[in-house]
Amino acid sequence: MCDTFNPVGNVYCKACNARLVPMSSPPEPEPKEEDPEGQTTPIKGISLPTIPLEDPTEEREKDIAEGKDRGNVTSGDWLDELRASADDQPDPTETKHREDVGRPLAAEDIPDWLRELGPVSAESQHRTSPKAHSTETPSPAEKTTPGEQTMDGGPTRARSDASDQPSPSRLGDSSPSEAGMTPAFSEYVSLEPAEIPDWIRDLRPPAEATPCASSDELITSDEEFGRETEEQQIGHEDPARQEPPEWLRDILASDVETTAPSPPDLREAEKATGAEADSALIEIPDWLKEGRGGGPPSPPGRAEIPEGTPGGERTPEREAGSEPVNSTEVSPESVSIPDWLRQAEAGTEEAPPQGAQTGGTEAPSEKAETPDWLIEFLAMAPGADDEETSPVPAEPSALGNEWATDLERADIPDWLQELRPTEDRGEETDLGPTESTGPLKGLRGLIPAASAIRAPTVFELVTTVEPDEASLARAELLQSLLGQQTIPPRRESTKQTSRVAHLVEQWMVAAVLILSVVGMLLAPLVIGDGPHLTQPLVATGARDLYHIVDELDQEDLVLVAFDYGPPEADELNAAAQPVLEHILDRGAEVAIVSTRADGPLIAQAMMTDIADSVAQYTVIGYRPGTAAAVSRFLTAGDRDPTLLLILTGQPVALRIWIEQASARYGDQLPLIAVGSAALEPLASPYLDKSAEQLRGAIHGLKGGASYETLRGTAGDATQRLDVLAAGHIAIIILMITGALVHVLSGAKGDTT
Amino acid sequence: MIVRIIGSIIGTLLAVLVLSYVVGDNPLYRLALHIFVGVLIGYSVGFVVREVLVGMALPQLQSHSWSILVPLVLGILLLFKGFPRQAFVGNASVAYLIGVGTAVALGGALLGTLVPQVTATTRTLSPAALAPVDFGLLDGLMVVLGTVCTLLAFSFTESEQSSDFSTWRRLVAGAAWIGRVLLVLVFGLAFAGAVTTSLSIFVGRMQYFINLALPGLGL
Repeated sequence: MCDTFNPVGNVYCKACNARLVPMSSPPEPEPKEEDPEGQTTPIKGISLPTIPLEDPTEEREKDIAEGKDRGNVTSGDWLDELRASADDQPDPTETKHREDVGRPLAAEDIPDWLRELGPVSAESQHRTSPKAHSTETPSPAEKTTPGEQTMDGGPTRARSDASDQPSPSRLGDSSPSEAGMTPAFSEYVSLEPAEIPDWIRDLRPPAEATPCASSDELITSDEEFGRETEEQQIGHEDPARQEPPEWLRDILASDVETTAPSPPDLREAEKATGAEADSALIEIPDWLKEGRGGGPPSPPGRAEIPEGTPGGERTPEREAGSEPVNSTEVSPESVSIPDWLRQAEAGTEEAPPQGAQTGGTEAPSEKAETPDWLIEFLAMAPGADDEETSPVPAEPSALGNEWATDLERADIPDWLQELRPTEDRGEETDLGPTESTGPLKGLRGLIPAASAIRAPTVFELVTTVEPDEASLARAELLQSLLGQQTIPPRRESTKQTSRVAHLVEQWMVAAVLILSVVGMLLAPLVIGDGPHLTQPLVATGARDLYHIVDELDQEDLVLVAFDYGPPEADELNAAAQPVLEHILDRGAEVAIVSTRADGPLIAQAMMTDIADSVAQYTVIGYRPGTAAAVSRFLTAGDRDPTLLLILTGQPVALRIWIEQASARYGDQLPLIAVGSAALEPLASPYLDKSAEQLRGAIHGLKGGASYETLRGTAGDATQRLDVLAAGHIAIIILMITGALVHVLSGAKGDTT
Repeated sequence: MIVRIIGSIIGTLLAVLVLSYVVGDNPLYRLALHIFVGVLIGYSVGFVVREVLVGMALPQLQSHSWSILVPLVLGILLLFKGFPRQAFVGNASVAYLIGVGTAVALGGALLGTLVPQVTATTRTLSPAALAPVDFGLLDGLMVVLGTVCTLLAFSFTESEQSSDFSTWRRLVAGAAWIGRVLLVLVFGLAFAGAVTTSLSIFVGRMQYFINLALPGLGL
């Protein structure tokens, strides 16, 4: 198959020319022809060919039309039409089959494969030769089977529908099923029971073997299922039916699944089969006899499970709709036991009694396949205590009870007895009374709630340790401390008092500083040039700075970093002014740059005061970017400076200028600095002789006064130095006074 | 002259407002602070526009130096940082500034501070460095020990097996204590310098007032 979708009427595939319709499949009548009223029979999703193939199809349609004329066909039931047509039109192969049934079979008619199965009597060979079936052409009813399954959803439902609408053919003596479908089973029914081999009897549908009272009883769903099962097992199907095309096979599979026979019907068929088997004579072939007698005896425990028990496994025969006949139900009187069967039974009698009651050769193998979980489940089931010798519970049926009574009690060792679950020893376990009320009603072994909640409400501490007197004293002290009244919060008046005191302190400090500073500033005006509180000392850094500046000449370029603003101008102007004057006096060129926006303003104001002319200096201006700006400025300069003077009051600016200048020039560019007094501790490492990153530096008014001393002038730095000294003295006095007041006030506070 | 007199009066008035902090935080002090901050920012903006845009960028643009476009564009993008929704536009400029600034600062710190200071510390005990110092060896030892002790003062971790080296542990703890003492001395010195600076500025302001007042008083 090429899986190509073809129109409904195509017989051959348009792609691969494969035949789409089986050769044996009769053409289907047109639905329109079946339903003159225009009610088409629903077709369940298949595309059977509707184009007539050959002349017999036309004849068949003609027959169907004739059937309609006779009124034998119910409108819309095409299946009945086909059956009716099958009845009216005997198949030539069927005729031949009946002829073959009527004549005795010759030895050469028996195939080799059947002959090898075992010794069969000549009569049985004649009557049960599969050749007759193998050569048998399917009856017209069987020919319609594929159509039934595919068109109506399976054989069962089709027949059920047909049974609801009785047709004349069914009411007659020769029903379609009896006449067309079960010729072989009619032979089996006519055979002597003892002549039927087991393998054929197992395959035999129970309904077929049951004497038919009427055709309606024969045509049941179970019967159809059993009949078809028999046909499938025996191999009566024609090749076209055995191997349907794929598209039809899928549909058949789906239909068979949806129309499975119901178990109750199967049981009825089993009963019928068993009833027939009572009167049947069994002739067991040698190969089967060997299987029964020669096999090893089955274990007693496993053989206790008879076939057909609820817990047993389903045999293939049961699943197929027929169940093997239980040999125990066959009365010995009605059976003419041959010698080989007596030998077989003698062999089985030697086996344990359980093995003799297995009822078939397949029983041992089935019992051997009993899973462990099933055995455990059966052992835990109610009533399992009655069977201590076997893990499998006794069969509730009469047959099972007989086996249970015949069993010998096994001796269980003590160690194994101890390992038994406690449930099995119900008399040894005290489960307590059964719960009578509540949601747990009916349960046993429950823990009473009263024991769980029956706890003392007051615990008595029992201890043998007695506290000593010291511990008791500490405990009493702790208890007394906890019982004391907490310290009340401070009153508002106290806060106001402290605030006033704080204001008084501020006013006192301010007054002292102002009086000291202003007094020292006005003192020269009042008392004239009197003694000075301090003398400027020439520090090492000031001297080095002076020497470096003093070595400048007119060709040198001094780069001045003017990195301070108006807040620091009062201090740094006094310190930087003597240095800048010295540089200008030396005639060196001055270039002023700043990383602060307000730096050039202060620089311009100072240079305007100290410079004789604007040509002596150059204000480069503001360079934004701090470190990057300094690096860029030092790198992109057209002319390398001879000296770098850093005027700043902030440590960051000093560090940036030192770092970038050192990174750019190393030791080749001498650096000098004029900073504030607060910058002196931070500039000291760079000013150290070991580092010499700063060749010279002065800080604050003290540094400026030192530089003025070196230059022999008395500028603002020298004038302010006494005032600064007076302010330092005032600060020292305030600190001592404050410390004394704090000590005294603190002592007073502690006493309170 | 009038401008100078007006300027002196305004300056004196603002100085008095700032000094009013003696009586505590008051509106006059805050007014003076606001005036100073506003004037400083206004002056800085005007100065930057005049010095940077007009003095640096425009001349280069007029001379067809297109390399100025990159910093100019980055600077314009940086203005978007003032608007929260469009602040992301200035991320590139900030990234550039931080990256370049960090690289330059690290290079300068390494070559301008770290290496020279470590070298200077190791050089303090050399005869050449000790020669010009009065207490050469003692000064060098003090510098070395002071540096080591100050660095040990910032050791906040201990080894898990420190109990096995109690002597070493005590030595480190003692050195760290000395380092902390040196740090206290340095901080005290810096505070003293700050007080001196503040007092110097105060002296300068008082002298300014006196210089303004004396001519008025006829002195």
